[in-house]
Amino acid sequence: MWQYIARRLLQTIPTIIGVSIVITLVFRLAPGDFLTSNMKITDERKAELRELYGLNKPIPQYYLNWVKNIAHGDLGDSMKFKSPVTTVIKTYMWNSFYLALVALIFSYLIALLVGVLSATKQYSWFDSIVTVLVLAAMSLPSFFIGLLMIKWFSIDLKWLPVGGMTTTGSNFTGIKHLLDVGKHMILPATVLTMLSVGSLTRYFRTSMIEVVRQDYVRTARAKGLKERVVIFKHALRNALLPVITLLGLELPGLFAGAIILEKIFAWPGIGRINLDAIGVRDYPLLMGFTMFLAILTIIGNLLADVFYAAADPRIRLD
Amino acid sequence: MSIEITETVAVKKAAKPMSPWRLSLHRLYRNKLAMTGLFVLVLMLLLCYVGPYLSPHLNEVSNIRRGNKPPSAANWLGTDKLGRDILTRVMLAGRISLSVGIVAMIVSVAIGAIFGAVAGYYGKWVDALMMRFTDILMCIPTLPLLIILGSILGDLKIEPSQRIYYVMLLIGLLSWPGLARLVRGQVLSLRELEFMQAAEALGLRDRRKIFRHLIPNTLPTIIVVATLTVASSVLSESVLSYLGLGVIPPTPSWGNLIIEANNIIVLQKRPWLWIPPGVAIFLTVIAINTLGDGLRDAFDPKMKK
Amino acid sequence: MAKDLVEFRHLRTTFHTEGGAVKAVNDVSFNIKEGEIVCVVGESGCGKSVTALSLMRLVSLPGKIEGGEILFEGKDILKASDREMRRLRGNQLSMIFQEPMSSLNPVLKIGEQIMEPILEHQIISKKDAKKRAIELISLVGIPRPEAIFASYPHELSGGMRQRIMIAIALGCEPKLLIADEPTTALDVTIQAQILELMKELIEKFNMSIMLITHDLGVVAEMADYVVVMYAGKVVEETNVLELFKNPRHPYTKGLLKAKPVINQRMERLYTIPGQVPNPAELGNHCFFADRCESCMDICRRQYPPFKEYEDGHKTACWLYEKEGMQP
Repeated sequence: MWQYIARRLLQTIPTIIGVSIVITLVFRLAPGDFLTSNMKITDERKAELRELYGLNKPIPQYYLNWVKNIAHGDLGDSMKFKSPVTTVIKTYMWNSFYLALVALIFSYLIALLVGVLSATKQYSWFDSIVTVLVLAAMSLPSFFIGLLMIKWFSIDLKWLPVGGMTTTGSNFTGIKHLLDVGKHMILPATVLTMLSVGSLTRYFRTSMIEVVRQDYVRTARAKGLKERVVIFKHALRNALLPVITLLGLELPGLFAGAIILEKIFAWPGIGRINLDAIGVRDYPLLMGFTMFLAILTIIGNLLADVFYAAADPRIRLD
Repeated sequence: MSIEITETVAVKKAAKPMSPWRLSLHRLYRNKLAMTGLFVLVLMLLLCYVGPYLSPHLNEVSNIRRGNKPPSAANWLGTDKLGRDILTRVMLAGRISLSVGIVAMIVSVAIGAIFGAVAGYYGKWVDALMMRFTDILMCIPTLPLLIILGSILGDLKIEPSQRIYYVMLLIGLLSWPGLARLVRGQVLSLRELEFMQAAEALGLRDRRKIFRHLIPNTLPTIIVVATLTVASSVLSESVLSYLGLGVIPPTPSWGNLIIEANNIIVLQKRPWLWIPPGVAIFLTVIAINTLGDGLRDAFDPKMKK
Repeated sequence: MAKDLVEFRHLRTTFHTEGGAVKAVNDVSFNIKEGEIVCVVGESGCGKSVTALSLMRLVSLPGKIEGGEILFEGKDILKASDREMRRLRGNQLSMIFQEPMSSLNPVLKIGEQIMEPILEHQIISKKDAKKRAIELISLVGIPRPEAIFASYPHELSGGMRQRIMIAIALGCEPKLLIADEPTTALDVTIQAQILELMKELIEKFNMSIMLITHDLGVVAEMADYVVVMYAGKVVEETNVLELFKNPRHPYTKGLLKAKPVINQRMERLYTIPGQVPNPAELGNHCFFADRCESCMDICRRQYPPFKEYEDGHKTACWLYEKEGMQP
């Protein structure tokens, strides 16, 4: 097992290098930078700053320098925040993480429940309604549904706060703080869940349907086992195998922040920072963060494979 | 077992031989949900491309005094701040959004299918290299990249009327890797089948083998993915345009019409300004997804029943 | 005279497909006695598997049991509740299937899968169930039963898996074991072993076997009584010796003729001409008419009645309508 992991990690190195090259090319070849549109700084000062951030170096040199720093855990310095990228990420990432985690848990739970029920009651009206709902969920424009929710629940009905993570001007601690954050989390988490629950449900449903048709499920019934046991012990166990894989792939999403939704709900997460950084061309921040996400994606893929092998006794990685 | 019975009976019943395409089409007709999707989609297309010609407001001069009026008999969806009829604006915007979706899909499919077919066909190091490249692209999160490239478009100071073409290209360029992987996988398995060995034995040229033998057999997958790509492209365009990075005014698109909602007064008190385009996006995308779903079931019925 | 364990009475099971209603089992009646091995023979699609699944009430949509009765120990199980049926399955009625490779759950250990029916249907402790499972593994001729108990299906060969399936089926000492083409997917040498094993077990447990097969060699080896099916109906039934010595229905004769015999050289291998009819388009005539060498006018107009002749030999064929008519 560990040999397999080590081997896979080695295989990811070329990919990581490739990603770093693409990132560098995209960001360094783009016209303009953070300072271009800034009217307040003199041109001389701009030249100084550019020198400081290494923006004057030829691209290959910049690249090598950047990569060397990454190897030491230094993702560069943000020009907007005037602090290391790692600090910026650390400050805002967790806000996004909690939101994404809550949405993840709910969407998986709902998708599993509905998907399995739908699969066992195939052709029923329940299944048909679920099919339509799933298609609807997958077709929602994220920003539109976000705006709609805000209009209905925050403005028209005034049930929930309009945005932000905490009530402005408040100074809660402990439980009160948690409740406050929770109240603010309801709308964005609901929208996030709505967006991902569609394809998940369908995925689980398909997996379950396929498993239920397998011979060993027929064998289980022929043994006279209770239907409940047949479904949960025999069918579900096998149907859940791909779920494990999926969880690994969710890793980057947990830390990337929902760019659009964080903007609409004014959630102080890394997604919003990302968006703002793009707006002001804070390339060091963007490069560092994008690299971080790419690495997470690669690790996530690896984890997915490892989890799957751990769960399915048929697969032994030697 | 029942699938085989069904198919055998259906085939034996038909007087003339049914090609796999006709069989699939037949299955699609009977899928009520998919047919509904197709119907709604056609309706949308007609509405957006033909509708404006039927609208009395098409070439009206904008009149601010008529501005911001809620839905009425004269303006079924009300007017925007410049007095323009919303329904007509939504229809015109639809032309743009739908065109972007379709062209982006064409770009994506053209690149993806050929890329995947070549990689799968030649295999070995060609495949390894090409797939590694695809992997790299897939590691980078799409939305941020799209946004960045969209911003760059702004920096390059491209004419608003020209922007739409760049947006089409952009969205297409970022969505081909997924299709490439799928096509490659299919080609890899098809390659081993006997009809390919037969083509080899006939001494056919590579290009002919790829284009005349392999790709046609991957068409079902390509068609399904192409359909779903239109849906995701329309969504991508709407997000980009909403952020002001895709199609920008004065060219209307469903996405940039929703920018109005950023103003809290509009959000609360003038829903007719921004809800119709949102609903239009939703209906179009769900119709396309439903159709794509139906196509998938039509081509490969084993998964459904 | 042994009692009747199972009685199929005019069983009808139909599949409602998009292409039409397929009468997979079309008025089938026959009996299985206690301690008897009954072989149900026929080509693929003749309805023999569906008959067995109907007995277990495991017919899945779009199939449905539409009529008739199936008596098990005198009680009609088609009228039994789902709960009662479930108590019979794996307990008094067991079934093993054709594909040992896919009939076992890949993520559960062998031992677990053997213990399941035992724990479900009997009041027994887990420890005792485990002991019993290990005994069963031994009983079906697998060495090192403890090791096998703890292994996964993919670690065993096809032959071993089929033995495990038998072990599972025997857990509660059923009165009837249904075996649906148990050896078709196995090598010939393994086939022989499995059949041998089954014969031993019958003696031990005094159970009946309903053995479904398309292989006349298996019939000759195993059967006490044979039921021949074609296109959803029984066309002939009698005891095995009689069947091989004196087949009546032209289809049975065709089957026997078609089986190649070792050491016998022939110019051409015999095949029954024609094809199995479209199951959704069967008419009111004899289903075998188009392919029958002895086809007469009346065969194309009416379906022959199923009659019993002397010494219990039954068949449905116009050739024998008038008693004394020699084929």
